[in-house]
Parts: sequence; C-alpha cells; structure tokens
Amino acid sequence: MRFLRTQSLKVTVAFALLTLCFVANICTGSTGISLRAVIDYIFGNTDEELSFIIGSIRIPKALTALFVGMSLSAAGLVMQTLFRNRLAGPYVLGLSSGSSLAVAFLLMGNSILQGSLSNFLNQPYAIALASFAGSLAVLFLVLGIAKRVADSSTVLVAGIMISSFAGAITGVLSYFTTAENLQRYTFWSMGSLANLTGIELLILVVVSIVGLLLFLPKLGALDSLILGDQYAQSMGVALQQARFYLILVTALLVGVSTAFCGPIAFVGLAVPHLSRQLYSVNTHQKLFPLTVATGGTIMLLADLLCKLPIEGWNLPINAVTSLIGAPVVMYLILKNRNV
Amino acid sequence: MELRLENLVIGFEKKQLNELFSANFKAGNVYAILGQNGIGKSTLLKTIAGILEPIGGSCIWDGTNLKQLTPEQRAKEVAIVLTGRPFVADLTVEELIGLGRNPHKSWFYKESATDRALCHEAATICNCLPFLNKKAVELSDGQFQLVMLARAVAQDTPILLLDEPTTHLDPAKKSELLFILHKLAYEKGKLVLFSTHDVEFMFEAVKEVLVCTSDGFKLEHIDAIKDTAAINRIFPSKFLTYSEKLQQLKYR
Repeated sequence: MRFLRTQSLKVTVAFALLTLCFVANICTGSTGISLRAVIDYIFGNTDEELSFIIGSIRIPKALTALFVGMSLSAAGLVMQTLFRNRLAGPYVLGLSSGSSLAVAFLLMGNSILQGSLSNFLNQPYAIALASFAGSLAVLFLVLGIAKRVADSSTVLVAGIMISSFAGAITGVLSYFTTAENLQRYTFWSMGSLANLTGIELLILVVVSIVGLLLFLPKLGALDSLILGDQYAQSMGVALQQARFYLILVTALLVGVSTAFCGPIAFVGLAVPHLSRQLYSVNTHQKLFPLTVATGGTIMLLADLLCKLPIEGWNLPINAVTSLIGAPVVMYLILKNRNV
Repeated sequence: MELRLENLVIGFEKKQLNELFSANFKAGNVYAILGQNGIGKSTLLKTIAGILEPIGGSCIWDGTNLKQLTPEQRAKEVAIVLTGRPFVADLTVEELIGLGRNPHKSWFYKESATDRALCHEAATICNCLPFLNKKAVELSDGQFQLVMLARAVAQDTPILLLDEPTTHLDPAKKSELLFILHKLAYEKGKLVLFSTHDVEFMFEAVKEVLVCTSDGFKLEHIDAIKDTAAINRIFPSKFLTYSEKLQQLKYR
C-alpha cells in the first residue's frame, strides 16, 4: 500500500483494519449477529440470549485470536532479526514443538509416572508454565547452535531436527498413555482458539500485553542487530544481555499462546513479511506496531474463515493459517533465492 | 585529542596475536594499519571498537579508557566499518544509514531533525545520494561499501575505524574514498584509522602507518617503508619488490 506515506497513517490504517476484523469476527458464526446488535450490546440493551453469545462466546474467542496473533507475530519478527533469517519463526525453529513436548509430558506423562503432583499439574497455569519452559529450552538450544554455525540454513535444519526429536518423544508418550489423556493432548495439539476459561483468557491477555510492552525498549537494539552481532556491538548494544532479554520475552509470548491454543502454524513467520510488504517499512520502531496489528488482523481473519464454510462447524485453525502461511513462505523462497 | 594504545596485546582466548606495543594516533589525521593476512589488523580494529576484549593493556581516548565506557557511550566515540557484506534484510539505503543514529536515540524518542540532518550530511559526504531510496541488497559491492561508510559517519563519532575499505572498489571509487577519508579527518577533525594491504592506496592516503609484522607492531613514517627491504619485512615474498621510480609494488 504505497499510497500510505506517513507512519501515523500506516498505523491508523493497520489498527482500523484490526478493529474491522474484530467486529466482523464477532458478527460471524452459526448465529448471524448484525453490527446493530453488537453496538446495542456495548450499550447494554440486548436480550439475554444474544448477550450471552456475544459476551461469553464471541468476544472471548475474538480476544484470544487477537492476542495470539499479536504475540506470535511479534515473536516471529524478533526471531527473524535475532537469527538474521527470513524464515525464522516460532513454528519453524521448533519452539512450538518444545512447548508441545512439555505440555505432552504434563498431559500424558503423569498417568505414566503416577506423579503425586497431578493436582498441581491440572491447573491452567501449569500448562502455561510448561509451555513457556519448553519453548524457552528450544530457543536457547537453537540459539546455541546458531552461535556455533554461521550458516543460517543450518540453523533452520537444526530447528526442524529438534522438532522431529520432540515429536518422537511425544509419540512415545502418546503410545503409553491412556486414551483419555491422549485425547486431551490431541485436541490441544490441533490448535483451537475456543474454550479458554476466564482465568486462562486473563493469563493470555495479561502476559501478551506485558510481553509486547517489554519488547518496546529493545526496538532500537533490534534495528542494530539486523547488521549482525559485531555491528550491533559497535552501535552500543550490550549483546549478551540484549539477546538473553529478547529470547526470554519471545519464549514467554510463544509459550503462553501455545499453552492455551496449541501450536499455531505459520503466523509468526508470515505476518512480519506481510507487514513489510504491505506497509514498506523495515526498521523495528516502525515495523513493530504494524506487525502486531497485522498479526491480530490475520488471526481474526483466519478464525473468521474457520467459521465460514460449513454451517455450525469450525475448521481447525491450523488448517487455515497454513493455507495462508505456506504460500507466503513459497513466495519468499522464490523471490529471494538467497534466504 | 589523541588515541593512545598502551601496552596493548590483542588476540583471542587461545591465541595471542602480538607482543605488547604502544602507539599514539592524533585526531584530525588519517592512519593506516599495514600487514599481511592474519597478522591481526582486523582484531586490532575490533579491539579498539570494543567488539573484542584486549588480552592486555588499554585503549585510551582523550584520557578515558574505552573499556570503562558502557557500550552506548563507546558507540558515541568509535564507529567501525567491517569487511564483508552483512545481511541487511529489506532495508533501504536511507534506513541503513539511519541505523548509525541508534546509539544517540532512546527508545521512545523519534528521529529528530538533527538525526535527519546528520544522515543527509553523511550520505552527501559519501556520495550515496543517488541511490538513497534503493534497497541495500540491490547495490553493487562498491556502492555498498560507501553506504556502510556513510552509516558510520552518521554515527557522528570522533574516531572512525575501517577494515579493508578499498576491497571491492574500482579505481574511481578508491579515489572517492581517499577524498572522503581526507575530508573527514582534515575538515571534520576525526581520527581515521583503516587497515589495508593495498599499498598504493595507502601511500596516497597517509603519512604515518602502523606496521604490523610478526616481530611487532610499530608506528612508522610512510617514507620509511618505501623500499624493497621494508616491504619484504611486512610482506615476506621473494617475488615482491618496491619500485622507487613508479612508487609502487612490482611482482617479479
């Protein structure tokens, strides 16, 4: 959108699109809800049934989509800079698999180990913690590899291998677990934006907001990091500290959204590129708000598409994000042969 | 103002590159660092820039040990242009030059008029204006080298370090570079220090040169190395001679 000249105009358009998709998302579903009804709901004059659908189903789900989209996209943007690789993202580099493995241990492991901790493990924040720990561990592992090998495609291969490895262990766990636990894990791993309890949604929203805000002081450092570690140091970045900080926040954002919604494919990878293309900006101070807004928009849109095709049925969210994301990746590979 | 390297020993954890040496470089001058591949020219520049830690000794600028500064403070004193072509994502030339302003910005503070003016001045000095709106990946290696120099100039530091700046430059661009470096030193008062093994360029560019050999690092006058014995001391080769008549190296 080259006609958008100034940054403030770009941000306005991005957030206008976001608002539009948020409202459209609320209006769409098995019960069609008019824009009128949504406005009425805001002012508190809807009937009880509609009020329940909007307030207890539609809005929580839309909020989930919004925050998951924003978190994953911001995390993807930071990872692409940190790894200096256009194909980096929470899903590709195995963070989601790390989260999955940790959650698999939590959901399926306790039936094997007969752990006395099982009461604690059934708490919603236990999944969040495990998921965060899983993504953090993988992120450190991948970054450790990235520091040793200069070639960025090797790092991607390492990420894929870590994914496979984590997948294999998860496979073993699911072989030995009970059918009930396996079902719980399987549903979780397919990815879903629905069915978050109030407390889960609260954790998601609070952690996402905190995480996104924590990125703000490091946007300048991220710009310097584009040129590589040595240039970043020469431009005043305390390298070790900045890297550790960014990894921690990234893992937090990926961990919390994966915890409650399962591993969601491609959003973290594709959205930063979409925002670069759409708004033609590249420095993080400008790109970050646009990526966050686009992330929320894309996720709301993907969720909306999930609801559309079959009356009363929802497609799995991962199917739709992959349908959008995979072509974006193909396009990138074809456009830049030297990614 | 001057940069004093005191009893400096550089290298990496497992490998010390030189015996300790001292040298003084004055602001408003251009100096070269000459030596064969692998002798430690880049390591020395990176040590001064604070990218690498010295094994011993210190780099003192205007009475301050550079090691005692925070990374941000140091980035306001020393800028560096490294060799090689870094990954630049989709940055435009203008954005890339603008990165030089990062150490001067706090995160909530937008690009100021001063930032824009300094970037524009840097781009003008380094002849980057014609391709300011291009993507950095589309540039030729020579143009890219000038853009990276402009980025370092925009960083607005009294010390400017360049690692092998003449690599990838054709004779026209080399002459531009020479003009730019002299302008930065003589008009802007910067201390310009570049590593090279491009002997002809160095003869044109500097009066004093830090000669790096396995016997030690020593600041010498340029005339002291204008003979075959001296050249062979720096670049040991039986095929290399210095022609006094042509004032350049000959391969025999």
